[in-house]
Amino acid sequence: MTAVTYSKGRLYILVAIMGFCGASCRYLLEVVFPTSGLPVATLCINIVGCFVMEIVNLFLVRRTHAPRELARAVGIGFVGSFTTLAAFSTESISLIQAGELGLAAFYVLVTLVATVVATLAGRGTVVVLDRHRLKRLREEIRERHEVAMRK
Amino acid sequence: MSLISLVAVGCGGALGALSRCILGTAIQNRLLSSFPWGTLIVNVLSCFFAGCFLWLSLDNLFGLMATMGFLGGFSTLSTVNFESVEFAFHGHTVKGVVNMATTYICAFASASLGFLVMSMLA
Repeated sequence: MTAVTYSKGRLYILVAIMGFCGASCRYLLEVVFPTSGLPVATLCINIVGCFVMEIVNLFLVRRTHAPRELARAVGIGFVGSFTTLAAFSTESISLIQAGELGLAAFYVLVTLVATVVATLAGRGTVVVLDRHRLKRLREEIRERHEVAMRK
Repeated sequence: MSLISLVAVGCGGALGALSRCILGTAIQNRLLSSFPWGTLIVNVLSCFFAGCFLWLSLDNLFGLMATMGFLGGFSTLSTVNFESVEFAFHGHTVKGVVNMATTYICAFASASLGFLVMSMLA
């Protein structure tokens, strides 16, 4: 990776703003989709977050002209705050306390497998996005070349 | 849900994300290791306090702001997965698997510990 210089102050401000949005989005989803038993809302939040994290870190930060601090803050702040390990661990413990051992084990296993699959799917999506970007860049170069040849 | 609780959760999340960013980077820079200790320590801390709050089970705005907001924003799962898969794709599959396993085990252990510590203190 290349050394990147960016303003720390600006990054911190953007991380805080993005953290605000990420946490309140998670809260909204938890309130709108209340679940009893298996915490489906948290599970879905973590799955979506893991998918988006790949696209942000591997595409938005590295391949686009988005301001670097902003792109980094979307990953660290928004997606980082949106996904949660604290709720996951307390929800699992609550399930164990309620005597739902099977459900707790299932929740842990599904979270583990589904979030890894989501991360890999995000990575696959980045490969596709990269390919499209390269194709577009090649076409642009070819067009420019043709224009130059005509002159 | 009220607008106040939404804003409270958001403020907690902003503080949590900022703390994670600053503390995680500081730990990582101090240790000079390729292993993501920063993310792990931040997650362990947040799970410990989440365990404490689980025992307290506060049903007020402060509890919501602290757990749903701050601890939710302070802890992160997407970064753990990103870093683990990044290890795997750079030929360090073992490191990636170890990172995932350590995170999950430590998250549980620390949340349980937080809960136990609170019940012993009470």
